[in-house]
Amino acid sequence: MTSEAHNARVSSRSAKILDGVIIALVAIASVLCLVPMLHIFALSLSGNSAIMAGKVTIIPLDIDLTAYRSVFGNAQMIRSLVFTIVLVALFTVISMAMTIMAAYPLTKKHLKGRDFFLFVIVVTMFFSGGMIPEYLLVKNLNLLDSIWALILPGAINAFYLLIIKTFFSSIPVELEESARMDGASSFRILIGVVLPLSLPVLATLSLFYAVGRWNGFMDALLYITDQNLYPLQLRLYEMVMNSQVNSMLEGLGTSPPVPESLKAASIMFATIPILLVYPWLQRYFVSGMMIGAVKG
Amino acid sequence: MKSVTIRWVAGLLAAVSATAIAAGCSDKEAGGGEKPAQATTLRIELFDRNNTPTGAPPITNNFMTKYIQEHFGDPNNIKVEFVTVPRTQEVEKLNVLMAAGQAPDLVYTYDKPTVQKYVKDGGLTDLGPLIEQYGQNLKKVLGEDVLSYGVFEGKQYAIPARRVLLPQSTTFIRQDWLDELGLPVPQTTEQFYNTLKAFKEKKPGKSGDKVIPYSNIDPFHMKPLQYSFWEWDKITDQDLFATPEWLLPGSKEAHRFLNKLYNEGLIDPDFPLSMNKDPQKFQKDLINGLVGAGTANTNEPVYQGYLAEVYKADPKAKLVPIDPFTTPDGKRPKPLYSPNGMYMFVPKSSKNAEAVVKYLDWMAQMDNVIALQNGIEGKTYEMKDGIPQTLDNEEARQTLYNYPDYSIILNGKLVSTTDEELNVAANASDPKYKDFTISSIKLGSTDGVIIPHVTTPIQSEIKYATTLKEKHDEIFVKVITAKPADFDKVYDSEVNDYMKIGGQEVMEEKRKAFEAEKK
Amino acid sequence: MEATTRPRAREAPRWQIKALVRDWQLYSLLVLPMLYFFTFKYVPMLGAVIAFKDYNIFEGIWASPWVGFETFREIFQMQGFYLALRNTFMLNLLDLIVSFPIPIVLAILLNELRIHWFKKGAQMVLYLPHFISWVIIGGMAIQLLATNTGIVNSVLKSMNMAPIPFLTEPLYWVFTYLGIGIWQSAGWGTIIYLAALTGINKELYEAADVDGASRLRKIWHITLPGIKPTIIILLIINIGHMASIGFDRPFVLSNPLVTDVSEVISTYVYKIGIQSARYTIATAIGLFQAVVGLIFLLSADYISRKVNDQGIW
Repeated sequence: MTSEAHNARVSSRSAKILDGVIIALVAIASVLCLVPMLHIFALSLSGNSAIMAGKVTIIPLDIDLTAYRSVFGNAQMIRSLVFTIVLVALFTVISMAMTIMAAYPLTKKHLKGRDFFLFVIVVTMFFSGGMIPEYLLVKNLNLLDSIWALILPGAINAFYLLIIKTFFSSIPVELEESARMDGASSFRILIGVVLPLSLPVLATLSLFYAVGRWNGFMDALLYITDQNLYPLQLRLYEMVMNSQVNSMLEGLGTSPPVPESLKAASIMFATIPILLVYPWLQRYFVSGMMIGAVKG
Repeated sequence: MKSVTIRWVAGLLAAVSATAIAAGCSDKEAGGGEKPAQATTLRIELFDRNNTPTGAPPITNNFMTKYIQEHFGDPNNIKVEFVTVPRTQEVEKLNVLMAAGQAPDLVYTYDKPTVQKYVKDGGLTDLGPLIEQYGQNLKKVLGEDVLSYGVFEGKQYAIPARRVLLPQSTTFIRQDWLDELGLPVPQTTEQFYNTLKAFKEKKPGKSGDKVIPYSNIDPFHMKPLQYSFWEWDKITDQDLFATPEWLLPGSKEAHRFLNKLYNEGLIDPDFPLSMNKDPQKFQKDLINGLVGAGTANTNEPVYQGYLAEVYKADPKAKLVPIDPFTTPDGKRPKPLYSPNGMYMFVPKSSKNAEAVVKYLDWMAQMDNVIALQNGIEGKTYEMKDGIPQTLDNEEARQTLYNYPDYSIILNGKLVSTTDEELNVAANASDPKYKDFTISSIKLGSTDGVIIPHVTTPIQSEIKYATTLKEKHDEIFVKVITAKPADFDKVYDSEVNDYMKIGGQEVMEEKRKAFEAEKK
Repeated sequence: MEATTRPRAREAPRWQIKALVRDWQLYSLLVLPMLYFFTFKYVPMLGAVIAFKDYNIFEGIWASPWVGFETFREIFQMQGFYLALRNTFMLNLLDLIVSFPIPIVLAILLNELRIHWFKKGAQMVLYLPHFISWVIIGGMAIQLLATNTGIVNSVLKSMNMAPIPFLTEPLYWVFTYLGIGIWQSAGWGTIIYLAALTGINKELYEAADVDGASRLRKIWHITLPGIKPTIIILLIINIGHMASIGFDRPFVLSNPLVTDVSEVISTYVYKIGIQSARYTIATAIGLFQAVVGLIFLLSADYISRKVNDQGIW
C-alpha cells in the first residue's frame, strides 16, 4: 500500500487507542465522583437504623422520607427555601452586573488610573478587617436583618472580576474597533459586542456566584436574627450541628438525635439546584462563538 | 436677609418655649398623682437551636415566654424581650453584639475564657451587692460553692448556673455477652481485663473477627480508668490542681495498661482517627454489635438515643452500667464536673442589672423551676412519687424541647434543694431506661473527685491552652500505640516536650496561685 | 505650506474630545464598583489595626491601647507557629504542582471526547464532590482508608498484603491529603477551563487537520495556547494564596499522629481561639498572611508579564 494510506491507517489506529485511553480515564474519574454522591443520596432516603448499622451503600434501605419531610413538610423551611431562591437570584444579577461594570473598563490599557484601580482591587483579595469591623459596618449602614446584608457585602468577588477581565481581554480588538468605527459608544460596545461573545464565561461565573450564595451562611449567622431571612443551608447546618452539642452538659435531657439521613439530605439540597441549572448552562459551552463574529 | 433671620429666631424661640411648657406640665402631672413609672424593657439572651418542632410556636413567643411575662414581667412592670443567638455560633455572635453595644441585659456563655476576657476589659457589672439584696432564693438554690466559680478578680462578675448532675463518664458492658460466656460482672480492673480477653478470644454475640472488646478511647473517657491507677495518698490538693496529669504518680502505669490493651488487640486499632472527631464511630460499632464494653458520657446512650438503636438492632442485647476500675485499696475514684454550668453576666452598659438579678431570683423559686423545666401539670407532666414525669405527648414535645434555654440557672432538672436522690431520679428523662440512667449516674458519681479551682485567672494557662491540649492528645495517642518495649522511652520524651512547650510554666503559675489563695 | 506641516486644527480637539467621552463612559462604569470596594472592603479594612492594639471589646477599636508589633512578636515566638507556617507552604506548593494541572488536563480530555452524551454526562458528574461537605468527606475517608479497619486495607489484608497507613503516617498522609483534594475540586475546576475552550477558533483545528497534525500536536499547539490566559491568571492567583489555606480539608483529615504535617495556619488560628476573643492574634496572623500573599502575587505577576507578556495588569 502507499505510505500515505499506511500513515492514515496507523494514525487512525493510534487515534482510536488515544480515544480509548481518554474515554477510560474520564470514565474512571466519573465513577469516582458519582459513587460517593449516590451513596449520600441513598443515605438521605434510608432509615436511621440501617444507616447506623452501616448497611447502606448506593441503594436506599428502609426508605424513610423523614429528612425530606422535615424540609418540605415544614412551613418555616419552605419559606426559607423560597427566600433563598429569591436571594440567590437577586444576588447573582447584582453581582454579575457590578463585576462586569468593573471588568470591562479595566481591560483598556490606555485608561488612566487603570493600574491603580487594579491594585486597589487586588489588595482586597488579601486584606480584610475581620469579623468585628465588618459587622460594625453592616450595623452602621442599617443593613442588619435585611436581605441586603446578604447581598451587598459580597457583591463583587475580586477573583471572579479578574477572570472576567481576562476573558474580555481575549476578545479580538478588531471587533471592538469595527463597532467603534460604526459610531458605537463604549456602552454599546460592551452590551452589543463584548457580552454576547462572553456568554460561556458569564454563564460560568454566574454559576459560581449563585452556588456560593446558595451554600453560604456564615454571614447570615451574624447579620440576621429574623428567622424569615435565614438561608436554607443555614437552617440545615444548625439542625445538623445541634446534634454535636453535648446535651447532657447543657442539661437537655433527651434530645431526639438528628437522623443521619438529614445530614445527607443537607448535601442533596446543596447539590440538586446545581444539577438542575447546569445542563441549561452547558448550552453556552458551544465552541466557535467567535467565528461568526469575525467573519460577519 | 434680616427678615429671614428674625423669622428663624422667632421660630426657634417658639419651639423652645413650647417644649418647656410641655415639660413643665408633664412634670406637674407626675408630681401630682402616683403615676406608675414607665415599664422597663428587660432584654434577655435566648439560644436559638433552630430545632423548633413542626407546629410549635416560635421560641420568642411560646408557653415559656408567656409564663415568664405573666409571672415575672407583669407584677414587676417589666416587659421581657428575648434576643436570639444561634447556639452554634454563640461566642462569635456574643462578641459582635458586645462590640456593637447591642448586647442584651442578661447574657450568658459556656466559654470561660470569654468571660475572663470581658472581666479583663472591664465590661461587666459586679453583681455581688445586687445578689445580697435581691437574690436570696438564688443563693439558696445555687449555693456558695457554685457562686464561687463566678468570682473573678475578687468580684462576683458572673453568676454560674448550677449543674445538677456531676458525673462525667460511666462504663457499661454487654450483659448478654457475659451471660453467654458465663462470666460475672467485672468488679475490679483485673477482672475487667480478663473479661476483655475473653471477649477477644470467644467473640460472643454477633461480633466475629471485628470484635472490639473495649471502645471509645480518648483522654476524656479514659479518666475513670486513669484515676484508678493514681496513687492518691501521694497526691495533694495542690498537685491535683497544678501538676499536669502526666506527672502524677500512677499516670504512667495507667497508660502502660492502655498500651497493653492496644497491643493485645483489646481496643479499636484505629481509635486515633475517630478520637474526638467522630463520636458516631463508637455508636455505630456499638449498634452493630462489635463492642463489648465502653465508657461514654454518663447516660449518653439514653439521651443521645443510641441505646434504643442497640436494642432495636439486636433484641437480645443488654447493656448495664458497671464500675470496674479499682484502686489497690478498693476505691473507685471518678472525675466529676465542677458544679458550675453556664456563666451568666450583665454588661456594664446595661441599666437593668437590678431587674436581671430579680429575674434570676424569681426563677429560683421552686414552682417557677418546676414550671420552666416541666411545663403544665396534667398537660405536659405528671407528679409521680414527688417527681415530675414528662408525658409522652405532642404538647410536651412542643413545649419542652428547649426548656434549658429558659431555666438558665440550672443545668439539669432540679426538684429539691435538699434531696439529691430525688434530683437524680428527676433526670431520668426516658422512663423506659430509667434503671440504666439512675445506675449510670450513681456509678458515675461514686468516689467522685472535683478538681480544685482558684479564682485568679492563670495567664499562662490561657496562653498555652490549645497548644497543651493538642500535645496532650498527641501524647495519649503516641504512648498507647507505641510498641511495649518503647513505651517508657516514648512516654518520658513526650512528657518532657509537653513541659517544655508550656507545661512547666503553667504548673509553676498554678502552684503559686494555689498557695496564695488557699492560705 | 502651513496646511501640511501643522495638524489640522479642527481634527485634533475632536479626536481628543471623542477619547475623553469614551473614557468618561468607562469611568462611569467604574463608579459603582469602586464605591462598593471603598465601602465594603476598605472601610472595614481599617479595622485591621486591631492587630496593633490590645483590643478591648468595650472601648472599641479606636480607643483600645496601642501595642505596636508586640502581638506579632508574640506570634513569632509561639510554639507551633513556624510548624504551621511551614506546613501551609509545603501543602500549598504540592497542591500547586500536583493538583493545579489536573482540571486543565481533565478539561482537555473532555474536550477531545466525541461521544456527545458521554461528554455531557461526565461534565455533570465530575463536579459533584465539590458539594459534599468536608465533615462527610472526612467520615468517608476514615471508613475507606483507616489503617486497620478501613475498606481498602481490609481488602489488602485479605489478599495478604501489608496495610497502607494512608492517614496515620505523615508522608502517606500528605499524599492522601492531595489525592482527596484533587477528587473534591478537580471536576469543579474544569468548568472555567471548559468555558475558555469554547473561545478557541475552530478554524485553527481545521487548518491543523489539513496539515496532518496528530491529536497530541493539536492539543499542544492549539488547545493549550488557547486557554493560556486563563491558566496564567489562575496560576498567579493561586501563587498569591500560598500563605493561606482552607480550614476544612486539613482539619477534617487530621489526627494526633500526623500533626507534624497537618497543622496549618488555619487550624492553628482556630485552635488558638477565635472563640477566646483573641482577636488581636487572629487579626495579626491574617495581616501577616495578607502581606506575604500580596508580595507573592505581585512577584508572580511580574515574572509572568516578563515571560508571557500576560498577567493581571
